[in-house]
Amino acid sequence: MKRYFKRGPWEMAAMALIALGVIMLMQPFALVLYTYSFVTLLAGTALFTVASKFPE
Amino acid sequence: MSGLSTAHSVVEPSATSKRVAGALVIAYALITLIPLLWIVLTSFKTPPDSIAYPPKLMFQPSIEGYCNLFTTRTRQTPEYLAAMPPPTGYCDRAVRSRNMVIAGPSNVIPRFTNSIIIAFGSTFLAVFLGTLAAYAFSRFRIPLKDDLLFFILSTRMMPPIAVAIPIYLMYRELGLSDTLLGMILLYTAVNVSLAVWLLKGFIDEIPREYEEAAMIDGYTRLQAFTKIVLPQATTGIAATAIFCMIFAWNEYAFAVLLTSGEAQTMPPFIPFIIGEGGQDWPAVASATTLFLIPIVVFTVLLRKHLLRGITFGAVRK
Amino acid sequence: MNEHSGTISIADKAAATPRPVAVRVRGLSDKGIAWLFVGPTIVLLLAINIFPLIWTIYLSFTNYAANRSGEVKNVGTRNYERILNDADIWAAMQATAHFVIWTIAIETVLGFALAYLIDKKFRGHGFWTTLLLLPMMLSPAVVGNFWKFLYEPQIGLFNYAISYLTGIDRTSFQMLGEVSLAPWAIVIVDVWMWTPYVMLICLAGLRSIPDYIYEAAEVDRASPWRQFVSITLPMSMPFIMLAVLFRGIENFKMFDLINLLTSGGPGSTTEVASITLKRAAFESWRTGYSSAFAIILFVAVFGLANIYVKALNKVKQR
Repeated sequence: MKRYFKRGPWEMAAMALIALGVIMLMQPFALVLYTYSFVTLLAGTALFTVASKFPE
Repeated sequence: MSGLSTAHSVVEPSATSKRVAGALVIAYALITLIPLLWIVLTSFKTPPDSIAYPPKLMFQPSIEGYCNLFTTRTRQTPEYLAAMPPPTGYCDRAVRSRNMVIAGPSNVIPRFTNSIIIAFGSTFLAVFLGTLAAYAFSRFRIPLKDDLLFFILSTRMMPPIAVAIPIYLMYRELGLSDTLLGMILLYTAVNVSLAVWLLKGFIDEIPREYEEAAMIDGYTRLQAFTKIVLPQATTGIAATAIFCMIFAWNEYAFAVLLTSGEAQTMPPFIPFIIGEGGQDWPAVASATTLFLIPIVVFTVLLRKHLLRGITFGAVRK
Repeated sequence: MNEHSGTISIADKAAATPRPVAVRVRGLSDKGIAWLFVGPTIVLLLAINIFPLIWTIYLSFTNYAANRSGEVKNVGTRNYERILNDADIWAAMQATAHFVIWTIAIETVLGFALAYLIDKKFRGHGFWTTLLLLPMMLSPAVVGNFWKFLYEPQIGLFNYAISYLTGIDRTSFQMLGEVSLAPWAIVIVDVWMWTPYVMLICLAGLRSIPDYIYEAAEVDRASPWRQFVSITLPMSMPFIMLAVLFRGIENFKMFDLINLLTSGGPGSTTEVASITLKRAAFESWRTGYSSAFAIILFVAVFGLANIYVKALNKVKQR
């Protein structure tokens, strides 16, 4: 189980999610993406906070 | 350029490229300085000169802008002016030549005083708290240290308007709205995060061995801190203090939303220096010039530590 | 207690009367001191930052209005739903995006180029660097206010310079008054102010590259362009990222400069997120609604701040 919870990849995933959320928040293409940007950001930030507790 | 054949180090740029680089950088620097110079020039113009077209580069210098900055004036009829005793001093004469009389002092001195009190008060508190916390973070094992440090930094990153909403409500309840104390506490909270991060960097660089040696000699931990670490960290503390001071001096968002008179500082005040028919540009420019002088002095003093300051102590060079 | 004066060298202390180890016990324990030292800072931040944050979260689920003393109703997530479906707020986010993207792009290119030139260490580079840095130390509000003067169409220096250089009539365009120009007017001021910031960090990046790497490349006969692409650029990348992230966060929440220059106008062309938030919170007094908007911006900044600190640690290791 333990080897699935390595810090590096999870933090990368979280950062990608945060970046995606920021892009969704500010993109000019679809209102739907904007609507779901906050959930994405929230998920990314939460994941990052959790992932930073994983062992290296 | 074939580097191998040259005598000097390959990393040293050639004289020509140095000269070109110098010319480009100096050109850029001169262009960016134009707006600043323009403000200083404008502060020494008369109101008609300041709005002349084409913009006047050569003009008869005058300190009417400074006169207007420090006074409030009322328009009077020529008969009234003629009946008055002769003008005393430069400002009086300048104002009367525009058919006005000085009615009293303006708000600029109280606002300047507020800026100074708030900047010094919050800087002192932030550096005091920051030094203690930075020492603890640098030397001791603290549970969740990284999380606490991140939490401290993140408070500085928050959008000021978002923070201002609850602060506004809280201060209203506590009676701290538009008070110097309220602003000092708020700026201390914002500055303490910078102070902790910066000072931690400086204290990290002081070898622990100094304190350990002192403690073997019978110093307590507190004595080692006050007598060994603090003197060593003086430069760092001074640089941090200047950074905190600059922040508090420049801050606008909180000041404009949370103060309306009593505790108003210079940044929200300057745009509202108005004369007849809009902004009185020479007066605004004089206020801006006086306001910017301390910052220019501080920047020159700080130049060696600027990089550290803007990266929260991470980049040391 | 022992009165040692001012600064004491280790040798002085060695000469002083050695004190028994027991003295240390009389003082506070390290753990006690740690808490005593960190405590006040944490308490202050809890009072001025965290408590208000929690209050904002609570308010964001209500219909509270700070200027009325009506009944406060719990409205669930309705505020969030409204904001996240509001085309006007979406437009404000796009105005923010325009500002953030263009300022970062121009500042990075210009800042890196300047750093690259300054790194050539021409004569007097220290003096010129200090002069260059001045704009970023100034108060954004005061800067915004005096740029407004420079942008005045009739009397301003900016319009005069443009018409002098290009021959366009100076009164034919208004930097702050036209829908097509205002977003660029704020970009210009921000670039003027913050390029030095990016430059300073890039300069640190360039100086962190050890000489021997270039010497090795020279031995391998790598062309200057190759050296730039395969050494200079990648090795200063962490620093560039640091500058980009920080400017991104700062400009995402930019308020003072824009408020003074355009206050969001003309119309709502330059109404970035912070200006919208200020209008909702302190002009329409929709406290609950604006709290929800504040939380959305909080989360975005908090997420980016996480990435920023990671970048910071990466640079620190160098």
